[in-house]
Amino acid sequence: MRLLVIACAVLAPILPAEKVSSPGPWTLDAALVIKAKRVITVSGADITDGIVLIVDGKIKAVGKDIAIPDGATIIEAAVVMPGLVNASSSYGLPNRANEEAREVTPDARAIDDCDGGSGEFKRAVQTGVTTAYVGPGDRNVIGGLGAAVKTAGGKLPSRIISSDVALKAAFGPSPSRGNYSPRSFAPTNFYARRPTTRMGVTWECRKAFIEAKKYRDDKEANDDGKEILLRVLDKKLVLRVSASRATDIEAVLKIVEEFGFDIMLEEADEAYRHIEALARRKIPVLYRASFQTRTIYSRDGSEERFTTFADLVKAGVKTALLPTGDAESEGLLATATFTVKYGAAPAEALRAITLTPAELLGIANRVGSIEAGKDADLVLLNGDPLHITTRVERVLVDGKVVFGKPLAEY
Amino acid sequence: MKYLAFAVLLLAPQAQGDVIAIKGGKFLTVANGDLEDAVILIQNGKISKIGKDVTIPAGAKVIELPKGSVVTPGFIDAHSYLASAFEVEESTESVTPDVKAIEAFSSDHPDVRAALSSGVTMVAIAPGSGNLVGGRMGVLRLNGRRYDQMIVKDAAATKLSFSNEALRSDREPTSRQGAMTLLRRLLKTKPIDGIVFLHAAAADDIQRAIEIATSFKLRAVLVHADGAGEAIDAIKAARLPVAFGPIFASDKREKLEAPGKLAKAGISIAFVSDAPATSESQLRLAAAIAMKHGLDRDTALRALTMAPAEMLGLSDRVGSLEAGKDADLVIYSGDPLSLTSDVETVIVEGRISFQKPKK
Amino acid sequence: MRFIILVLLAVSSVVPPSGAKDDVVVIKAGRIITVSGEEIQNGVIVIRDGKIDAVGANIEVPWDAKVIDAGKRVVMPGFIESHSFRGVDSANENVPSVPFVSTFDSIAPALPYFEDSLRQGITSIFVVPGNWTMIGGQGCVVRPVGITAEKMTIIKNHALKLSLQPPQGVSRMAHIAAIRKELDEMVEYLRTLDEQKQVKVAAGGSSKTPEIELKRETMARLLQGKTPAFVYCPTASDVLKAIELSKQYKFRMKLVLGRDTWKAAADIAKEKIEVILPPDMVFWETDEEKHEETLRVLPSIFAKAGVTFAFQTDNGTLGSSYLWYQAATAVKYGLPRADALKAVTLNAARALDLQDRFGSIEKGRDANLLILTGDPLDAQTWVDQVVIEGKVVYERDKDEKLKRVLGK
Repeated sequence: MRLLVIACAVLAPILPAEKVSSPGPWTLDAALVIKAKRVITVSGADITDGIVLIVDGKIKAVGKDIAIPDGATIIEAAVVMPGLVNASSSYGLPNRANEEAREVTPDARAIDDCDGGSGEFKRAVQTGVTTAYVGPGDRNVIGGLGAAVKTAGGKLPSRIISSDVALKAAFGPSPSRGNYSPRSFAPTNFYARRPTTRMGVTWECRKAFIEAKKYRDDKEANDDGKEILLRVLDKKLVLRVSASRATDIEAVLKIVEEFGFDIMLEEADEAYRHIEALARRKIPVLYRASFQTRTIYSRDGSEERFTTFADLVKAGVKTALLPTGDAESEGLLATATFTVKYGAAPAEALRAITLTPAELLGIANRVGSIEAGKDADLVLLNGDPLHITTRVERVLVDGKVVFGKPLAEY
Repeated sequence: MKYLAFAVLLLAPQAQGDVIAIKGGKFLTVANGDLEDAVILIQNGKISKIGKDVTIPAGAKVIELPKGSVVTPGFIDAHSYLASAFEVEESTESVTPDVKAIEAFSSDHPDVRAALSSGVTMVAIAPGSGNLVGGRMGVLRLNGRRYDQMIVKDAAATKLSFSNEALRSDREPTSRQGAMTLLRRLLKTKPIDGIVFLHAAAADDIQRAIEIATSFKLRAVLVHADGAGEAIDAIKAARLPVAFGPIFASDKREKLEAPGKLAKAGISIAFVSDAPATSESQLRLAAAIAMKHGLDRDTALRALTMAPAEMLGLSDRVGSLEAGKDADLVIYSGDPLSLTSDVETVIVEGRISFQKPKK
Repeated sequence: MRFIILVLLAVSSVVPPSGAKDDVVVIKAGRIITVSGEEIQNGVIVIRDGKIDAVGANIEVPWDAKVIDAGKRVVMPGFIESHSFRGVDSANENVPSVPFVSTFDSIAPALPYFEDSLRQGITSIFVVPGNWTMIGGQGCVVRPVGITAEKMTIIKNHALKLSLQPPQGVSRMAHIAAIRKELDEMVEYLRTLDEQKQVKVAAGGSSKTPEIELKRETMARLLQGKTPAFVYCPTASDVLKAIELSKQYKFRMKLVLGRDTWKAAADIAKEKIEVILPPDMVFWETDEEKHEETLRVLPSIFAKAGVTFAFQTDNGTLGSSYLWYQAATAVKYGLPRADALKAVTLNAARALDLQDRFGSIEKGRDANLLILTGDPLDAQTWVDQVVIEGKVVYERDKDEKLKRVLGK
């Protein structure tokens, strides 16, 4: 029996990719079982000495007393949890992830600028991130469409879970960066344009939506970009707006009031100043903390509160955590660990890097928790995920080991 | 005596109805395998007959090939800037579909003669890759005649660029997402007729090119495709032929092994020079290197002849030694895919256009 | 008048007042991490005149002692930053060779960096010139309290900073040649001075060594073995070059390492040189040919080679700006906890040749101590109090700025 198991584990990578429909343990899709001292499902209570059964790349069952099928490969771990979901990444994207020739590019798709083979995806996997949102940057007032992709498992097109997750908009000083007003000299390039101020940013955003409304009445016209803006106005597509400072967040709240669409707030450093408003309007937040005490001394008057995440969650705002560092750094688990130090409950912190971002990206039917029917995207750790000294030992995407000791060697 | 015969042929005006017969050596027909002890009859610029049992008509000028000679169809370069380099980037804007690359060609450039003398009888001149829609590729036959008499097709295909050369910081598009959006809008409102060459080297550029080709059902050819080795399945699924190259000796192993892998997957490949990036004479070097890295011989030869003819929509006229096709052929002193062999004679449209000088 | 009093009051809360004799302080704690020896459960530390007088489980508490009862909390030596170029206005000079400058003259005590360091439990910092100047100048060992650089300074001009990183546009060859030129000139200068002295002595004059030009003092001390050099080596070959130079010109040296230097770990171990690891200590290296990746864990590599090392921080990422986080990362990838803690305390002191002064809880050491709410490598732990030379210089429940970011 064991020989057969080893044989199929060894042969697995070289057998053809097409599904073999014959039954029996010698197929590619032999069951995989994770036995962990602690199974963090996120969707429910932790399971002590639990089992996760994986078949065909999906979670077939999870619990304490799951029958282990014959021929299943068994992996033991101290802790298993769902693969992490990075709700706002720039993996594989160039530094300027925007089409800069215009400020409003609703039909641009960041995925077109994404290099699926980028080392940043590899780094992400190594820190336990199995799904990431890849979206336009914040140099355009309306940047375009973002997609949710798996960080491993083949070429990029096959890794896309959802290609129109949200329309990206940016408030604050970022979209003005690089623009100038042609006052003392003639324009030499297309950067001589609005916006150059925060009010210009708001205006460009409002103008885009107002024109989209007008376009709706014009039967003749055929404009991809405006069609997307209409989807947002009709609440069929969520608008994800980055705004850091309290004033920018206020500006965002005003346009929500004006147009009534569904939004998600991104970055939101000073969200603590508008918690009540965010809770009342049920606006989810993709929160990026920096946890640097030097913000106490910042010159532009902006200030971070380390307790913002905990306070948002307490107020009932659906909050996902974004990583503090870049792709090369410590990752989402470290970010979550720090939020616990600053007042969050461990379970909340873990949910904010798994199920909550999955829900906010509209892909919770596939990822974000260990539940039967979901993709087998899992992180196996040698200890409590919220300890800096804990190490990610293995990462699985769609039931395949993409980081850590390969199955064949097990 | 032989030389005199050639000299006579060179000097004598091509009289209508004059038949040339080539006899002996080995014919690599490409279409029907190799032929030995056979005869090719050329009349009115076309191959009129080819085979073992071909009767040579009286009055025909007979070229008796020395032992070891090999005859192949003239090589076709499906993507080149021969004698047009630096004049094929109309870079003021990114979308210039009506620009014709052959209008940049200078027929008296020394590279033209050099190309012909290396066995290349037909080249496709392309617009540069700095524009999203660069313009029309045109096909020229290197027949040693006046420019207007060289034009086979002035707009054989449209060229699109998927590389970052088409991205600029001062002109739309500045990013790949912008390029893709612009292309989609364009193709939606003004579909492109005919063949489209998609310039894409890196694997993810290839993916994007395939996406556009399949979404808009383009009759497309991938050109360059350095990273094709990583995208074989996608290329195969989209059924796109690949005009591969140029190949440099310093290229990584992954790139040099790609032609072999593409061929094994059943994908049609041609070799291109991007002259003057590599010279036309290096086309057969490219084939030889690819063979060294796993490409089979038949595909290698086809990649210089029939495959590019198909990609340019000219397979009914050139690319193989078959009756009815244009008489563009090359006589080598030995195996054309061996670098020890020389080009002895090049015949274009039934006339000897190049003869290797005897020492 | 009121203003002056207020200023004095404000000042006195951060400056360790010139100690009255026989100041006895006792700290009781549930767990004492001495670093140099075994951990002590429910122990006592006796401090006299700013120095540790005794530490143990069964120690008699002097009746006149001021007692700080840390309860179940953890006490350990203060963290030591053995190589930092924060805390000054500009770490690098424009001119390549400036041995005579000193960070003492550019330390800005009011910078948030020092206040933050205290908050993190750092009790000693070696503030040095940057990595981009060939001969950058001298560094000072400071404590992060004091309103003037003078009051902060523990040791002025402790070491000379050198860098083997060639500036933009200069080849390695030219860079090393330039360093040799400076050193050769100095050797020649000293030789000349010595010659002059011999001449004087022969003529019956004083045998006093002629005074060394002020500008050249630092280099002279370097070549006379009185001042060590901290040499920044970005690559492994720089390490070998540094070793060669230090042997040729006979100067003492500590190495400040870049990522690539792990390849020279054995050579460093052989020479028994203490090193300071780069802030990014764990990274993946890609094999260009095979596209395979290997994880390099510098603390493990150097520990295995037998090298004594200290950790360094930077502002690059959230975690790498904390010494405890660097130590926790090392433990994550296999370094024993005790060794990781040493790298931010005792071995950091060793890198400064100050292991007899601080870095562990032992009799005779400066009483630089932290009272922590839990294990130092646990992210949930807070620094409750910081003691420097026997005085409490930081208390978390009085930290207004921290309270602000915590929304209190």
